[in-house]
Amino acid sequence: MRVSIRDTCSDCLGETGTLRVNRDLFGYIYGKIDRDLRVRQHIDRIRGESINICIFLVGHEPGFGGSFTQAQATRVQHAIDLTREIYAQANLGVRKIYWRYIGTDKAGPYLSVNSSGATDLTDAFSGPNDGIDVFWVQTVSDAGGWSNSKGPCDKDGKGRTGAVLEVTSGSDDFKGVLMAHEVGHYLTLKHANAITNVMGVDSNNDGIGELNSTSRDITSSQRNKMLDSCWVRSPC
Amino acid sequence: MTTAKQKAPALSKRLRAALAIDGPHFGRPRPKPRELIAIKNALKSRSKNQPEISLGKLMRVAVDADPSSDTAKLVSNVLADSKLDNGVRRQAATLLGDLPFIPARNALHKQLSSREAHFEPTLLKALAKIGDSKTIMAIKKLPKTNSDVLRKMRNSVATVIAYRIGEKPTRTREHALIPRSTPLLIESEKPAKVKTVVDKLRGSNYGLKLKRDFGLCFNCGDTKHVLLVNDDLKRGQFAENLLAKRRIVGVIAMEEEDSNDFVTRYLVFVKPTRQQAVISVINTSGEVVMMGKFRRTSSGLELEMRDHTNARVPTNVTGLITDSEVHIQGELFPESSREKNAGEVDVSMYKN
Repeated sequence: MRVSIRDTCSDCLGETGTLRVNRDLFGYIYGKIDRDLRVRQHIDRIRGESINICIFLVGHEPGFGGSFTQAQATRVQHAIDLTREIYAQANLGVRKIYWRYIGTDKAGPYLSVNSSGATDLTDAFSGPNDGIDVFWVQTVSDAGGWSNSKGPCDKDGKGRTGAVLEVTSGSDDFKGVLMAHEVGHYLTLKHANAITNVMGVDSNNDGIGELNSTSRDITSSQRNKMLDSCWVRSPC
Repeated sequence: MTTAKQKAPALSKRLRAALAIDGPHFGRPRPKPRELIAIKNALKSRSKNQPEISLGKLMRVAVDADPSSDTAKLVSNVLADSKLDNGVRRQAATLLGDLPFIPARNALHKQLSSREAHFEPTLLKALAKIGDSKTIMAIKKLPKTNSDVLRKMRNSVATVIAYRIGEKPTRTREHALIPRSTPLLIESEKPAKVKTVVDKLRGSNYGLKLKRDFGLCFNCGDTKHVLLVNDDLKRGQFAENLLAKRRIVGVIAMEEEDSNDFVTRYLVFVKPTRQQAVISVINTSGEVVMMGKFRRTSSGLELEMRDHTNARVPTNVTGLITDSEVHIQGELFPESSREKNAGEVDVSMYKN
């Protein structure tokens, strides 16, 4: 069945009026990214079972007058797109991207966080209720990022209610793997036992998974767990 | 000799100036009896013939000078007049709340049942002051709302009225005035566990030497927290030590769920003053989360502490600290939680 871009934007993303493929269908509002975007494939993915993501740029100001640079925003989009590619193995789409920012003033305490700061950040801010919050900060001092295993379905609850990721270091691909990894935690996945798996391996048992930019595999049991999460939206 | 057809008094020059739409702000002009008649006449015609006169100011002066059933009728007519500006009508609704008379109540009830939704909060606020059992019924009949704020407002107004007139409010409604609390269990941690926590503390402990055999634990959501106490505080001298000097009492460490490692989340400070001490809990960004006092009593130091600006869930903590023991209990008010900040939308990126 052929489904138009316009229908998909309207049915699945709530976007109508003048549409732009990058901005409205893919949700990449901060310009082009250096990845091959396939419209047909993307439509198929987001029409199936999917999650929504709410991205917080911590320390951003419109016009890039804050801590966040244009290059970093593009990098975040790259990460989202790679997450989409990785999650496609689980037949799980990443449908709607909500973009939010925390201005320089309010972001002050959160530009550089450790795991407790990550909890404070997600406790203070939350995006729309149908999306998993992913906060991009400049630095995470004690890991690449933090998330809960089995993130709470109620974001008003206490504790860590989102994933917090570092935008500064690592390659663009690594950030995509990191995002897929932390959101994977939120979707109930625990660390795996292979570096090639998206959930990495915790070889020294310190609670921090080791990853690299090749950690992209998803097993069938991980797939089933992800699809059972309360965050998964029905097909549209 | 006067006749029935004697001309009604007109607004005096003084009042025309005070009541003009573009006139200066005024305090509370006290109209003379004839001026009050003129004001009421102008109100009766809803100042249609005097467009330069502010209907809002007219109502305010009338209600202030003559809070009567008669004035309530005149102001009610303004509220009921759908041709008038909604701002003026909302002002009428507000003023009716200062007029505890049947016409005022009836007018507010009538407007409430008209379902002009944007009026509802103003009507409810006015009815909280003058409503009766009929108001409670009227609130009950309102269609369900998705707005949490409005729902709480309805419950709170119905309960205020019920308390005033001596009716028993429903339990749900009463929670709007007297929020439910859930206990926050703060218990002594087993010495062996405290030692483990100190050993597993990842990152900085802010240069403190922490006791390895004494600590308190509690859960915040699903996350375990342990208060680790500065080794400076000597057992058998807790109360005395707390009042002795400025110090970091300890750190509150949070457990990481996967690793069971702990990381410092909060710091606890105490600053002694005369006969008491101020206690403050800050997060690692330096924001005050809780604040309170220790007071010296005959049985020990009484602790009273509550959430400060940055806490999302209102929390009360009380306790008693003697030289050898620490008993602390907490109370959370989740129904009164502050909403999370939603962040901003960079609208510049959505322009076509």
